[in-house]
Amino acid sequence: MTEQAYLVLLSMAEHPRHGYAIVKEVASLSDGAVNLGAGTLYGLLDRMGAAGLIDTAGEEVVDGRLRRYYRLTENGSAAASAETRRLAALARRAHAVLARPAIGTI
Amino acid sequence: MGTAGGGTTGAGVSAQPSGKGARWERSAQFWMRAYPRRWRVARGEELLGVLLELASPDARRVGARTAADLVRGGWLTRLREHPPLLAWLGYRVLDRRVPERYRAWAKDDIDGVFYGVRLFLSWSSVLAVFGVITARSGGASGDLFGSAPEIAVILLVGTALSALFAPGYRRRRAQLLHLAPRPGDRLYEGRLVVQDGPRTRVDARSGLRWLAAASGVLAAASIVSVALAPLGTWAALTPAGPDSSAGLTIEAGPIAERAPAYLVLAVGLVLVVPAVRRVHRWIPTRVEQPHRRLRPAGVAGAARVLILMAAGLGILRAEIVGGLPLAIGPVLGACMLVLLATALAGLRECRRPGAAPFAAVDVVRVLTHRGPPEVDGPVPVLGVLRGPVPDGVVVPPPVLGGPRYPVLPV
Repeated sequence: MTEQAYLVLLSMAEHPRHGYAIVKEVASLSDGAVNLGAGTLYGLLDRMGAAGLIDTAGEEVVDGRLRRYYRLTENGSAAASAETRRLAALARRAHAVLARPAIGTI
Repeated sequence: MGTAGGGTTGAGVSAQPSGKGARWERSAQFWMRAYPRRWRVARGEELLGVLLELASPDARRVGARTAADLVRGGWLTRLREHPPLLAWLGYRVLDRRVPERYRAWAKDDIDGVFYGVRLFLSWSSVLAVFGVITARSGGASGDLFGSAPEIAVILLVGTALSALFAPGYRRRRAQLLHLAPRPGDRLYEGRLVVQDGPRTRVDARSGLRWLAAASGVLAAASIVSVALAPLGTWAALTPAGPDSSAGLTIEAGPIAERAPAYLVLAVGLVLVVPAVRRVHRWIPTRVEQPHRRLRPAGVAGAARVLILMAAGLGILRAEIVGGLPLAIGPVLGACMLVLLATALAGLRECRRPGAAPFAAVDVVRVLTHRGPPEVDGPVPVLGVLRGPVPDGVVVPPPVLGGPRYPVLPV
């Protein structure tokens, strides 16, 4: 799973969000490092939808514009959790490696 | 998402230009064309909304980064939804159906403006491969068909003409072949199914005008050909000259005098009278045509008539310069005289006050069928299945003697 895909999944973890809200949430989750373009976002949404990770959760019209909301499915939730565990384990190992004193030089 | 082909929700990219102005929206829609049409219909409005919210408030057009992102996203979407190579080749070259999940792709392909061009390109590339193979394999086939490049040119022109001559028919045929559900396929609301549709005909007012012009030109050229074409016995003209190319010796009957040719033309002239009488007798009878839709001839219709006319002129020119024996000219001339008179009579019927509109083909048909114009039957077309459709309904098997396609009551 790419970092972008992971962040998009995470952005929907709390509650369903529409496209623009996902972009904003991804930016805030990544501390401003990841700014999704609309084209990239919809590519991710398409693929996640096809893979059954997300689902649509209703529409509303705001200022004459259609907004569609997306939510995590159980599979999507499980995928996000698995990725989080993997990253956590990776971070633990990284800490362990960095904590060891460096022995000599090559 | 896997909803393609099902009930799409978005009603296309519409929406009033709110705040940003029409110029920004036009620019966004231009770049969104990178996405397939079905995608834009289903989600374009939503994407436009997100683009609007992401853009800076004073932007007058979509920025370069966003444009690049849209083009990349659009083409990745196209690539993702494109059938795999083998399925695609089968569809393009052998007219095989693509698997169910690519049905929506096929629909976009067939409905697209450039469908005729795509057909033409795929056929001509097959021809190019064929040409290269025959050229490589050398003598045997070359002797049979003449040189490969010539065949390729002839077939190329043929396919170009076929793309020009029957675009509507081709599209409808492709829709039925590639998109219509087969017996046993599940039905759901919004699915494309075969229905009775109207038969489209060129209306008399615009169609006959072109027909009259073309048949008039051809009739005049035929008369010129009959008057000027060289006479003589063909077989005697091309024997063993040292530079005469073999293969063009035509053994067909030569014409030694002009009288028979004039006689044929005169027969045509005589036939004009009953033809015109038939048009005025039968065209004014009102016939209900519930399954007919009239359309103007348009540019494509005019182009078709002009191409046929050019072909006829080519033959007549060959007769006049002596390339062909005088044989086609008189017959063509007689037919064109009748057609010209019929077309002119039909045009007069159009101008009659209170005349009901009719099709150009009605006038031509009157020539061969005594009686009021035939009633067009419905043609199978694809339409959206309106709901509600009960769960588990499938397309019924075809009935012997029934319609060629499963026509559902809708």
